Amino acid sequence: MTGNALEARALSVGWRGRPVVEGIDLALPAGEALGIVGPNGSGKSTFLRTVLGLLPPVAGTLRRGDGFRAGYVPQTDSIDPVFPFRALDVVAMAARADAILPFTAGRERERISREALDRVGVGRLAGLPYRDLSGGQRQRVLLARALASRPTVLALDEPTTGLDLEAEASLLALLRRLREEEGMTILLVTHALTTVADEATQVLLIHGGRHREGAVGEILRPEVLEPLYGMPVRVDEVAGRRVVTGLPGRTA
Amino acid sequence: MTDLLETIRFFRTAIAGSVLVAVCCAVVGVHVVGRRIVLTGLALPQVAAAGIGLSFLLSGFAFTGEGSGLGWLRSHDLMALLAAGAGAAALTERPGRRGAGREVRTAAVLCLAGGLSFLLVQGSALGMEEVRNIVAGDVLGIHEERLAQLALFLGPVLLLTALLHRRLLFASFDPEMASTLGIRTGLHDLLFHACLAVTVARSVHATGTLSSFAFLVLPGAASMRLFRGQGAVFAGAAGLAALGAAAGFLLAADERLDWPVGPTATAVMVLIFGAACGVRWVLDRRGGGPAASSAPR
Repeated sequence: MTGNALEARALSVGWRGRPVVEGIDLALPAGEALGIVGPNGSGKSTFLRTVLGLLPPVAGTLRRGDGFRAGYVPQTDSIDPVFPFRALDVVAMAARADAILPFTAGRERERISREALDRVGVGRLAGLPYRDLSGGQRQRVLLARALASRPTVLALDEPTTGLDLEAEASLLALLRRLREEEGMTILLVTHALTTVADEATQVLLIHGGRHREGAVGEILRPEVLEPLYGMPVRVDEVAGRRVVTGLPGRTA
Repeated sequence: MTDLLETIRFFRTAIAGSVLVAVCCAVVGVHVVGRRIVLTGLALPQVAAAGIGLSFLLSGFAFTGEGSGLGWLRSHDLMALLAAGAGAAALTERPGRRGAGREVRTAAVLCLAGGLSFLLVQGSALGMEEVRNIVAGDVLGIHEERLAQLALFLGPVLLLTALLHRRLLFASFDPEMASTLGIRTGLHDLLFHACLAVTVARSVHATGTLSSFAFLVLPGAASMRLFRGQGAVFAGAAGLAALGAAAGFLLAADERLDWPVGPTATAVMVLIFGAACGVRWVLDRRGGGPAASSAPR
């Protein structure tokens, strides 16, 4: 995919015609990463669902680039583990999803699924029940499933929630590799500013119905963040990485 | 042994009908258990039974008589199908949206339909004998023509659920990802509920409400405890249901017992479910627990 993967003009997103966030303008070139940040309930996931075509825009225009094909990684706890799927079954759901009948593309589906599991480093989990996996392993299986759909855009909803430090760092490194080596466009929903500071090239910041969008360096500055969050914010560099800290109770 | 073979030969049509109903209920029931709509699985047979009850009641009125054009109101099968279809449409809910409100609504429908199925039949000429048939089923009444009718309705349901099982599961397991990939989850929901309504309507008239509910839930639940992987779970559910239905029939047909077939098959299915839980418990204690591996956690 070349050019812009995504373009929004005066875009309003919401539910049943009621806007949650209004007037978003952004252009995301293919191969870049957009961090969508804000507190719980701010409208981050609503924006992501609109981009994925699961919700219609309330107003404005949203244009997806040529060849836009999204792979979606939902929050791990949004999937009911009641069915004893193996990890391979979960990934195979998205591989050759265009083939309707079970006996068509069976071998190709399995090959694509195993490749995707290997790609995210959990090939040996293929035969294990999905519900018995740890949070980090499930997240990787869901990422493998998204990759098995051969996406040009990878959308992840709170992918680091519930992960320990090592699993989080490993997942983020994998996303960086997919973007840098394979030119995949990444849409990353998170409530953690520090995560997008490192991983994203652009940011859409949503808070209390207000929003700001732009390049990371332009948005993650105290003078932009403090009015949005209503408290002092520090942006420091630690070991070459940008760290954003809110300081509640202090005067800006 | 000779007695057993003689029983199988004598009742082969009824046994084939009860196994067909059980297998179809089990295959559709895997989705019922997977979608966590077991209460709907309990309510729908009652709704279908209320439809049958209504057909009994209407049979007593002259306006449904021959030549009136409303004779179809006397058809138990058709009324069961219409009632189950309406019930499935009313209780349809997209998977993933669970809430107390929906469960209470389903329970209210269950109570209403359960009460109606008794009250409506009460007014018919045969009264409580029909109530007994609705609850316990009329498996022995499955002759060759009825078996052909069952196959005509349940065959396409089995075929459809077998061909579309991947997409039906995907649409219920993760509807958002499925929609993202262009799968029409609404259409698949509709297909599933249509299959559920047809299965329930046909099975209630053949095997009764209790047995329909049992075979809708227990084989799928037992198979999910025993097997891993989607193909194995569906095949396992079908196999366990066939075993439960056939064993229940033969047990009930034993002349020393002479029990009603539906409740006996239900009891056998409960035993199979209990055994599956026991096997899973033993397997888990022998080390089949959560993934222990050197892969990234």
